[in-house]
Amino acid sequence: MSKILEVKNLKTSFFLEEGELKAVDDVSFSLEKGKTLGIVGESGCGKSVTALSLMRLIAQPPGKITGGQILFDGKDLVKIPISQMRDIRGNKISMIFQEPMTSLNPVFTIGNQIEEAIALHQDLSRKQIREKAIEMLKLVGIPSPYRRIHDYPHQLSGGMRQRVMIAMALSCEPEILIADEPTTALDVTIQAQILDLLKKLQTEMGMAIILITHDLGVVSEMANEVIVMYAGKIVEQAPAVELFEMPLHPYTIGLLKSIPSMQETGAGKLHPLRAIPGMVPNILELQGGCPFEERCFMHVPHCKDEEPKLRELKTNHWASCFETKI
Amino acid sequence: MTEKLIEIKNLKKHFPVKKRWFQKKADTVKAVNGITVDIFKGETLGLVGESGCGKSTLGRSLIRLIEPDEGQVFFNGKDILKFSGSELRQTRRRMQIIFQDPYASLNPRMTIGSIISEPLKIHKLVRSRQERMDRVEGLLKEVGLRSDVLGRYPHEFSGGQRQRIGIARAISLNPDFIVCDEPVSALDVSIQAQVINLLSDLQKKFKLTYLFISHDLKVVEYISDRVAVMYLGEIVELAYSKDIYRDPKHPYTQALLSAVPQIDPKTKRTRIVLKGDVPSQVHLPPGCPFHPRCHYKIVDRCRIEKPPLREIAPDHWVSCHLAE
Ligand SMILES: Nc1ncnc2c1ncn2[C@@H]1O[C@H](COP(=O)(O)OP(=O)(O)OP(=O)(O)O)[C@@H](O)[C@H]1O
Ligand SMILES: Nc1ncnc2c1ncn2[C@@H]1O[C@H](COP(=O)(O)OP(=O)(O)OP(=O)(O)O)[C@@H](O)[C@H]1O
Ligand SMILES: [Mg+2]
Ligand SMILES: [Mg+2]
Repeated sequence: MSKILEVKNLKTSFFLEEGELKAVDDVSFSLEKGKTLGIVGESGCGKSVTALSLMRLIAQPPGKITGGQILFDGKDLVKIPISQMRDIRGNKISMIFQEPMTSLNPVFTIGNQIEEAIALHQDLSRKQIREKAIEMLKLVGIPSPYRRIHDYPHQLSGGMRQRVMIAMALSCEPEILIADEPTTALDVTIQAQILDLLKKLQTEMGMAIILITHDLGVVSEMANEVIVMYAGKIVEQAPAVELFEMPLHPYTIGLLKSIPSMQETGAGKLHPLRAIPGMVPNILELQGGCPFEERCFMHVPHCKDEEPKLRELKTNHWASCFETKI
Repeated sequence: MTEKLIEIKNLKKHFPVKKRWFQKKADTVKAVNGITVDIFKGETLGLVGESGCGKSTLGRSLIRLIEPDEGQVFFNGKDILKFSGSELRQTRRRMQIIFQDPYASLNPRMTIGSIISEPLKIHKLVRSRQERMDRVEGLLKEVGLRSDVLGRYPHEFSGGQRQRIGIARAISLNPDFIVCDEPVSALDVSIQAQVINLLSDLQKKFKLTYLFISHDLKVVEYISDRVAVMYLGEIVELAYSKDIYRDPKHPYTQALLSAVPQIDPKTKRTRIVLKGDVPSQVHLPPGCPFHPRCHYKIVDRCRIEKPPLREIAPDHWVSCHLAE
């Protein structure tokens, strides 16, 4: 077991007119070589901001990493100069962004863009670069890649764009891959193919993966360890098998119940899905109690007054809730 | 529920690809390649299929956001591809779309109030400012948003809230039909559940008809009455949701269902891995378009003759020579 990345007490905020929005608030975790860490949680809970912080890609202003450490390769990525960070990005650590359209340049062909990513960190001839680009597109299941490299992003379907992004991120054979919703736009067979590819690279090269996704099925197939986030904080952390078998935080329990199960056919007409009631709280308006209190089915008066800390309730299984019992 | 709202007949949309110097005519990507299907009043027709197989193109051609090349689309018995001018405007009002991406589909420089009221103004559905405000507030309430959000901008909302705004905009003109192009893919499961419940409620209340495009087969099964499976621009299987999930007949559908990631290890199925490469949409394989990747023991007929969509059991249609 060798730790390749260690995040300690990471804090990232956005300084807005209304005040300081603590998008990531005291998050700690570590990542092991060849392993996958899954991050799940409600929309807006800080998953992407966590990922972007690791890459030092937080727009400043209004954003800023206000505390903590990101230890990689004997360095603290929070402290190193940005020029040094550029060498790590897209080389040792690469990222698949949630929004393919904002990270692909609309005026260049996808071939240009992948080739540039390859050329940046590898010393190859033009011809070798082109071959590698085609090979990468083929690996992610793009049909007729030799033809498609001439396409512009808008000529591709949503899922094809996403695969181009994946090809770009993998082309530099990174030590750590941060994948932010990498397969949301893909059908399940291609998704399975991509997940297999990631697993293969993992066993062959020991690549470690941080996988952000709201598809809990994908998390359960890929992740060794899972973090559940809510309103900028980790509310539960456990080995994947354990988390799905015995979720402890009421938010995680609610998440798992919201999934429609197959073979409940036509049920949409019969009974509604069990959604978690209410909305995510506005992070700016949090009052100091448990952020999930308003929506929680287990809440007691005390939850309003004090914020629960992350506690190890079972070996390696952490949750922040006063009421949950094992 | 057998009254037809929409009849699609042999619809085609081909996109030209870059011509090469030795070619006389540019090749085309066969995004939608001869689709014939009916959509009944008040139903939800689910549409699934391989990424890039033409689902969005079909959805957009139906409501003429893209102009199809060939075929007919009857809406309440009239071919809307022949419409122009005010007739087209009238029909457009009754057919709406909810886009996959709640981030990109709302104009960042418009307030929520103007995003929702704009279509009302364009179609002159309200006479006074007061009437407009009342209507917008009513719509916000319908989708579960408070009316104090009116003056705020899209970036101030979470993904789920933005998707509600998109839905409010889509229902603002009292449509009969909505193309839902991956309306919940960008949302986490708990918000997904809220949005799906909302779509079902609105459907009951306003007798809406949906074409529901999604990669999430669990969601599709849950919400759809019937499901159509697309492969390379064509429908390869069409049946009632319960039939297709219980007993998929087309080998592509079987592969698709076997690949759904499951949380519970007990329900994990053995995955059917599609062999070979994703075929070119420019030069389609001869015979059955799926034969190069099929896990059945294919026969000569599969390589030569294209299987028609045939009714293999009551209301269960499949295009495969070998299905039984
Ligand atoms: N550039 C920005 N300016 C101001 N606030 C921001 C900015 N980027 C993110 N935020 C805020 O930070 C919080 C966390 O956002 P983040 O994008 O990390 O959510 P997420 O967990 O990735 O959600 P999703 O599942 O919807 O992608 C949100 O409240 C969001 O509004
Ligand atoms: N404007 C365009 N110009 C050229 N080709 C296009 C255009 N729009 C779509 N295509 C092509 O048409 C095919 C079908 O695309 P479409 O977006 O309909 O797929 P889809 O089934 O919605 O896929 P996804 O599930 O990935 O969203 C793809 O090969 C795509 O590259
Ligand atoms: Mg995100
Ligand atoms: Mg699409």
